[in-house]
Amino acid sequence: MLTVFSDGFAKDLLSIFIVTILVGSLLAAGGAWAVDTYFGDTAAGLVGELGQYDAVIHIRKEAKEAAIPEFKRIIEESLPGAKWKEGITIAGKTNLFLGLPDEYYSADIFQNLASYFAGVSGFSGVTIVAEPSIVISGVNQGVRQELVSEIELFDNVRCAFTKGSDVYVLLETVDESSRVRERITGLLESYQLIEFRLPLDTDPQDIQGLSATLQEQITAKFQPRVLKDISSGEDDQSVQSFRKVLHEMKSFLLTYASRVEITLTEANDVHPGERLMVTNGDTGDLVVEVLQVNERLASALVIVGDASNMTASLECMPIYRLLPQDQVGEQVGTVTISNERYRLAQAIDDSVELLQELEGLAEDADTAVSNAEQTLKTFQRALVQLGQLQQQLTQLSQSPNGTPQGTELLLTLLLNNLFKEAMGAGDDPVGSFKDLDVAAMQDTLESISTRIGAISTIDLEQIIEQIRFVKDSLPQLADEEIGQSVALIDQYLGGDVIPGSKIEFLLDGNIPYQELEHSLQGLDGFEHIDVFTLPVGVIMPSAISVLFNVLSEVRGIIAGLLSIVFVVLVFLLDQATILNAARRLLLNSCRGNRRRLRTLVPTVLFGAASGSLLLSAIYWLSGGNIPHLNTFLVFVLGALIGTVMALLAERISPVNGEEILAAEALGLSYAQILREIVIPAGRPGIVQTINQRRKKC
Amino acid sequence: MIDLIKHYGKITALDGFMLDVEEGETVVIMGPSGCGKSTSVRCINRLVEPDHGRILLQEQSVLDMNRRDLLALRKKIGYVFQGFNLIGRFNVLENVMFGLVMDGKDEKLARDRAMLALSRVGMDESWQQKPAELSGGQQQRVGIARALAMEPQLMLWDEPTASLDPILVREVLDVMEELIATSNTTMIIVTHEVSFARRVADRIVLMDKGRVVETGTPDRIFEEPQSDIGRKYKRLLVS
Repeated sequence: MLTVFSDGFAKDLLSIFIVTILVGSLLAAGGAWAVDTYFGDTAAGLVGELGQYDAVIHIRKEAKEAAIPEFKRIIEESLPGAKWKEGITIAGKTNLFLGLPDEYYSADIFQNLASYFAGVSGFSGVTIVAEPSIVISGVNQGVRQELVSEIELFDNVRCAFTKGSDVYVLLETVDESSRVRERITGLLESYQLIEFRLPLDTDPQDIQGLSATLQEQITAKFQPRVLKDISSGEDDQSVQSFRKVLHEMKSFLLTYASRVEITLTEANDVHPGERLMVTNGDTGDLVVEVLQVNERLASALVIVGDASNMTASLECMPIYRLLPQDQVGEQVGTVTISNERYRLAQAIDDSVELLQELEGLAEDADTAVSNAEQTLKTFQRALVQLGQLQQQLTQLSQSPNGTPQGTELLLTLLLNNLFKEAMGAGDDPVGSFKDLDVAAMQDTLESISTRIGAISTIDLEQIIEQIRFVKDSLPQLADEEIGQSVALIDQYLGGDVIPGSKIEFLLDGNIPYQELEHSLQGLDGFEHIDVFTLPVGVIMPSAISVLFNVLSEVRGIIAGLLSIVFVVLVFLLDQATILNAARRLLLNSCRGNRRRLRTLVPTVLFGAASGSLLLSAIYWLSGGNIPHLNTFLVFVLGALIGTVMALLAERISPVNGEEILAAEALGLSYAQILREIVIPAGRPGIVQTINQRRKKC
Repeated sequence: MIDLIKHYGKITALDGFMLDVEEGETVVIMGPSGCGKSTSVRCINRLVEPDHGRILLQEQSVLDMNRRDLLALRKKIGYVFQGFNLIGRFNVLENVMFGLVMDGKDEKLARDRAMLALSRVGMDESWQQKPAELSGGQQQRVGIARALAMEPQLMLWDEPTASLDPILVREVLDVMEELIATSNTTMIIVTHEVSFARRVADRIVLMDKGRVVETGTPDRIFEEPQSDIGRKYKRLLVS
């Protein structure tokens, strides 16, 4: 092969290689730059330049026109000094970039950004893009606040806050970000989550007990620095509240449902959860589920049928065991069913009636008190007059001639009898009446009058109205609906609706999980429990940083790919022609056996060398950087391309053998043949372009 | 040409071929197809490299020449191909000038010599045409002109009429006869044209299976053939 090229064509070949490498590098680098610029602009339009904005507010594009003025108003009023920009619309959402001024750069603001803009038409969420930042994702609710509190104390941390299950850490400067990242990593590694997965049928009560047992065991064995049950799930506060509400609802429903009280016969035994049946012509058949059993008394809940329309209690009805396929079994006792709702409604009606009567009663009482007071006053006057009369009688009885004592006695007796008959005042009526504490009676009457006055001031109409409102608000629930709802609440509280009952502990990170699991093996019921260890959170590079890192990689990848494509094209258009012609010339000048093989080997070697050189040079100069494709592999890939092209050169780029032979017969050199015959007849490419200046004809 | 041997794989094209040609002599090589006629001629200017043997040209060993000397030799040898072997992108004049220009000749000189050569073969009127626009006979005449333009000392004709129909064969043979009659150039002609051979040859060489089986003057070969090949050719001539 060198023989062919040493005949003056070597310089041509050198020029071809240099130009090919330069052109290829420019094309590959240029193409990569164009793609990078396009995607970079798109990305910047999507998320802003790195660090330029702090948040992206997403608005549905249909609402954009209405949203932007509102958005601007909110900024002016609530975040004055903030800058914003409308970004591109993608996937039906317009992105509004928001840059916060320093005074609003705080955890509170970031954490509540969504609430600022929640009222904007078409609002569809907020993405935090502040840089420099570190994001810790997948942080369990039970740990978030602790992490935030600890991280905020780190140097170079501007603020930290939670958003969903992520913890965002905003930094002062990018310079120290790696150090902060290391500290956060260390912090995360100092904790671990231990998750105990329980069978689905685990009773909620059992979970509580098991958690306590596990904690005791772990504390005894490992004396952990941190051990905290965080089993409430992802959203602790709301779930806790919800559970509480459900408990209260269950209590209310049980109170509201028809009361079923069963008296069991001695020989029968029923269990909580067991179903019994009551056949009754008035209400239809009822199926009840036993709630509690206490010796011979049991309480139950109607789960099929409805006793809510009963106006009178069912008493001492027989109740039977319910067998599979709804077969009625033996009688287990008698049942009394009272419709509590009806009684409640009745009580409300009676209360309304009472209140209505109360008003009238108050009026009557007021009148009676007034009359009593008048009577008392009159009595008081009478008493005084009687006293005066008695004195007068006494004086009369003590005349100078001495009225006989008998007259006094007679008058006194007449007065006493008068009082006795009139008022039943005892043996000494005058004395008794004198003893009456009129003042106290007056006080009592005044007190009664005051209280009656107080009753009069009460707005009884309003109370009556509210009581009627309460009655109307009473839920119209059938017993069956109540029973099913209670069952569903029990399921939820037992963990079935949110599947996978589990216990989660926050624990020291340095306690080996296998050792922990091993130490709990002996616990009762532990064999059915699966144990997992999880990190408390994972540091994720911020989406924006990832995006821009990816973009920078994209440029290298595109350059690398374009290099490879370019080399293949160069071989197809240019090099294959040269390789094929050179091999033919070599074949013609070769003597001896196996000429074809002997000429093929140098051709392939030359092709491999060309491919390696071209691809390596173009790849490196264009900044190609395909992951996992190091320099050596690039070299090998180039050799592979060249080898394949050399083997296929005859098919890829056939040359006119007759013309070559004619040129040889005319005494042309190899170089002249290549320049004048082979290359001009080949495909347009770099070689043909360069050759234009070198050929004579 | 001494004891030339040439193999193409398992096929032996030349098996001890021997030939010597005097200066100015017209030698016609004949023989059945595949007997090595074209191979023997191509070995003379090393368009084909023999595997063994010697070729002496004016006492100089052709097979031992270096590349430069070989190229210089080829410029002195005109070669006319069976398939014309014209260069398709050149017109008639450019084809004929090509060798001269590549040899460094001045373009005007090259053009003049080319036109002269074309006029000798009767193709000077068609100098602007491309080979694809010419008939086979015309293309072959251009091929002849191309070889003549180099003013060779030796002309090699490799079955120049084999690709032509009988009418065009006549056309080319007439040109060849005229050239042979008017020049002193040494000529080695490979052909199947028996009548032509008898008319123009100084000596006829009969080949079979890669070697010379008989050689002699045309009269002697066709009247008193010594070999089977000779006898066959005699019969052809008579018929």
